[in-house]
Amino acid sequence: MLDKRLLKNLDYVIIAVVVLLTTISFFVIASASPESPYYHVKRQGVWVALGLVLFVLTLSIDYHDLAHYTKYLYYINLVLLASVFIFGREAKGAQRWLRVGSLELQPSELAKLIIIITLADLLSKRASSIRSIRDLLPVFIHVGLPMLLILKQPDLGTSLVFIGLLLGMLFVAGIKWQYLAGLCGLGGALAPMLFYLLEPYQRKRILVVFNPYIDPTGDGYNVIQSMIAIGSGRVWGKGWFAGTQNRLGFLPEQHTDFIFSVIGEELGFVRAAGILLLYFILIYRGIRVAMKARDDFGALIATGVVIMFTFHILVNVGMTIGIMPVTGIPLPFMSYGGSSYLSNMMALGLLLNVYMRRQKILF
Amino acid sequence: MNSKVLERRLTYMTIMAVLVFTILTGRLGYLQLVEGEKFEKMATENRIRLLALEAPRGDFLDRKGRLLVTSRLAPVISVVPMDMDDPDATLGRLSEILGYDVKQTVHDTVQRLQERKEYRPYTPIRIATDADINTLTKIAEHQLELPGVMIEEQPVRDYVLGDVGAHVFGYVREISREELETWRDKGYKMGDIVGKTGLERVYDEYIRGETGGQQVEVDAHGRAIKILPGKQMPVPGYSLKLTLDRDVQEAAVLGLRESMENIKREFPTKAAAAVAIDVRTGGILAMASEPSFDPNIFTTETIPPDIWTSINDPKWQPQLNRAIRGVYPPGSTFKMVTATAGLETGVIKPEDTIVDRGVYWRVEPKKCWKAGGHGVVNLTRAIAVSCNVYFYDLGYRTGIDGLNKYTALYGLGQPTGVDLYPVEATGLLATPEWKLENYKTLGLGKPEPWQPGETLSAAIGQGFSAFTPLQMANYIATIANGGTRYRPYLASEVIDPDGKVERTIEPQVIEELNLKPETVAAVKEGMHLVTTGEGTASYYFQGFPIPVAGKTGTAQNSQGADHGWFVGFAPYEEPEIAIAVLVEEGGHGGSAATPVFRRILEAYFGLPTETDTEETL
Repeated sequence: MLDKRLLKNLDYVIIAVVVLLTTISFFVIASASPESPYYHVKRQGVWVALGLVLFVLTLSIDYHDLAHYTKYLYYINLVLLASVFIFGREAKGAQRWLRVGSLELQPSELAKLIIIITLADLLSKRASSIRSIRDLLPVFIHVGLPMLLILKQPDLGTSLVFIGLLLGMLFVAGIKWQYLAGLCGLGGALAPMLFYLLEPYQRKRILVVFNPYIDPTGDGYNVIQSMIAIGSGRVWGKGWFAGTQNRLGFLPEQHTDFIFSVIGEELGFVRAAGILLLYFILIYRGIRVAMKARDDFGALIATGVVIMFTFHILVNVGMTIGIMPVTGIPLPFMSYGGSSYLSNMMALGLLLNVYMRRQKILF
Repeated sequence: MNSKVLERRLTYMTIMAVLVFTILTGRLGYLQLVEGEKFEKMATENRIRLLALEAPRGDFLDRKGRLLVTSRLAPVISVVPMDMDDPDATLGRLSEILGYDVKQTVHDTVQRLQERKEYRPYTPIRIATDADINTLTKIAEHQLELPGVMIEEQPVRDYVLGDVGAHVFGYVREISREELETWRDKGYKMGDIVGKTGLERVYDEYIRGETGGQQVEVDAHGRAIKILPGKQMPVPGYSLKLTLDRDVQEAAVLGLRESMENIKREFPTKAAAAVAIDVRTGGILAMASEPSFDPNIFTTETIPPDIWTSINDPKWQPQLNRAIRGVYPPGSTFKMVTATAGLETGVIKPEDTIVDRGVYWRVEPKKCWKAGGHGVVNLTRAIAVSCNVYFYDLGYRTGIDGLNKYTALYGLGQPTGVDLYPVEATGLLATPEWKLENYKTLGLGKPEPWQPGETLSAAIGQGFSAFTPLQMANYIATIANGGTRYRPYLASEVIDPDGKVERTIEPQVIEELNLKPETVAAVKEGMHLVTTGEGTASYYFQGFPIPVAGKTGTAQNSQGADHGWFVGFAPYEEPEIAIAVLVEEGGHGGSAATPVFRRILEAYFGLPTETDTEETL
């Protein structure tokens, strides 16, 4: 259980940042719902409440205990991901959602957390014994299996998160530079082939990054409208509820994937950059958690969480400002959406769990 | 793990994070501070938008240029989501006025649009097409309580003949999700009205026209809408000139209905089909399928439940086009194929005779329909009196392969290539190989070889083979024109909105049968004799001014009463029109189908109908 002495060890800077981001999100989501401002806000309120419960739960279990269950977690994860194809609901051409009662959840969100925990466990035990590329094979299979299931949904964005996690955690785990460089080289060589394997719409989305104007009415439309929205916000923004791009429906998915476009348009550069600064503080303090962790397992969990957050922020914000492909990755603690908020809160729980238990407590 | 290595690598991570955020902030600053003015201008221009102006679909004209299907302007009630201050209240009030709930409709439409990322809150959502004047008045009176509700004139499809020709014309309705996926590249978009069946579907790309646009400006809050100059008028769709003849089409439909009414006490059927073809081109002059439906009902958003039930009646299936999708054994109307096979293979000559004593004994005892038989019979008389024994013998001599060769040459049991949707049925040309493969559907325990008795049944059209009324009409047309099989077709010209012919669809010869002139002459003569003297249908052509050729048919039906057929062409000497009439479970072909045939001919030749003559007497 949560000990009072443990609570003293929480990182309140991180907590303050997340509270701030969540509070801002309510205002932005309200403005990003032109049809009925409170519909999404009310629902997001429920998710935030649920998220708090999950946060406290994740915090209260000593992360060291998780190490005993990694095997089960890993297999449950595979079963959940596979079940999407059997019981899942299809939307927008992808099967990502699973219905539990009246809730619709995306198992791929939970998959990211589970892979952080299980990979941290694997690397903390094996990292020092990795002496050749061959020793890396089990690690690849470990990450590759769930990744392929997600890629098949198809959910390109989340699969890319897995690659980020794999590379980042291997790096922090201390494997040789040469291996990583080799991996990146191999990835670079395989990229054209993988590109060919992608669905045509996914290929187009990547090409649109380089030139959104090749498809101004289709995929490029979203990117162009988002850039118009952000650019037209200028220094101080058009004001809350006053973004024409947002309110008149030029922005696609403005309460979920393109929420940062609303921030840019209505709040302006100063505030949008301020929000980016909040995210940077979150990441910075997260890395600090990894440094102060009591053991390798903890350090790698914290690293995984940090990489996940960073990757999401980079890809999501990058997409809205036209430097990343449109992949449907939400902005942590900001985008409307239950599965994403819940998994982010659990990730936060894991991060602070590691920080809180950084010292041996003597009874 | 080495704690020093860990620390160093985490420091690199921090540097990476700084880099990521520098790039993001830098790009953000570039867009907002450096390029801000340019994007601000683009955002302002975004307030000018294009509202769709629907294009009227092209007309369908008959071969003489008479109107069959057109488009008219009708009041359409829509809602603009952006302009509804309180959507629940507005839609609730609107539901009261209309008398049915519209909330779900709006909700579903918005959701579908959102899924496709095509939702724009300023785009009107269609609620009711062609509302009655009372509803419109009420809405006008309560305008103040109904912000965001608008009434605009939009073109609506108008099937002027009602339920006549519904299967040929088809109907239109909002594009479905699946159609949108399939036709993605053809410029269709959500909410488009498209042809679902018939010619509306086949020629949709020609008929639909091009949606126009109206530039409108909305203010910063998106409220007031100002109409700007720069209206792009919609381009009306191309019209289709059809091979149909309106009079003949109407006669076919009314004739079928009348005939079924006359026989209903003995044979209570509602299903029938008739096809008339121009034997010189393959152009379809009439195509009727009964029961029918009124395609106008599909233009409204909500179809009343009782109408919906009746057009989906599982027993009679009013939406089924029996002329191309109904498959029936041909019965005695098949005997001209047997005759052709016998004459062309040379196993008989027209003057050869047999003696029909009522039973054919060669393979197994098989009876003629006339007890005691027809006596001495040659080919033409055999057709005239429909002598089974003669054709049993002929079938025996030609064999099943010989028969099937000529069946296939006449196009029976294969798609005709007619320009209609849903796609025509192939029918069935049963061969010995077919029987071996499909023993299960025939209820046999194991594959059994073709029996000689089955050849005899096939020779009189009572075997396994079954064809569509269109195939039958085309077969008769091929006989009538002396052996040229055309592709039956409906659309002959595509005409642009200015009346200029954009494309002409020429008659298309599928196959030259190269029949001997004697063969054609003998078969035609036999068919002519059917309508005179002792012929099986002579009663129905008494006093008919034009010499006619035809053939009755009664197809045995294991499911109920026999199907009645009549096929034929006219004039006998210089054929113009070939017709096949089928009455499902109509009993004998003569009584059910022949009056329809006569009625169609009367319309085609512009003769007074039988009923007219009675009135004048």
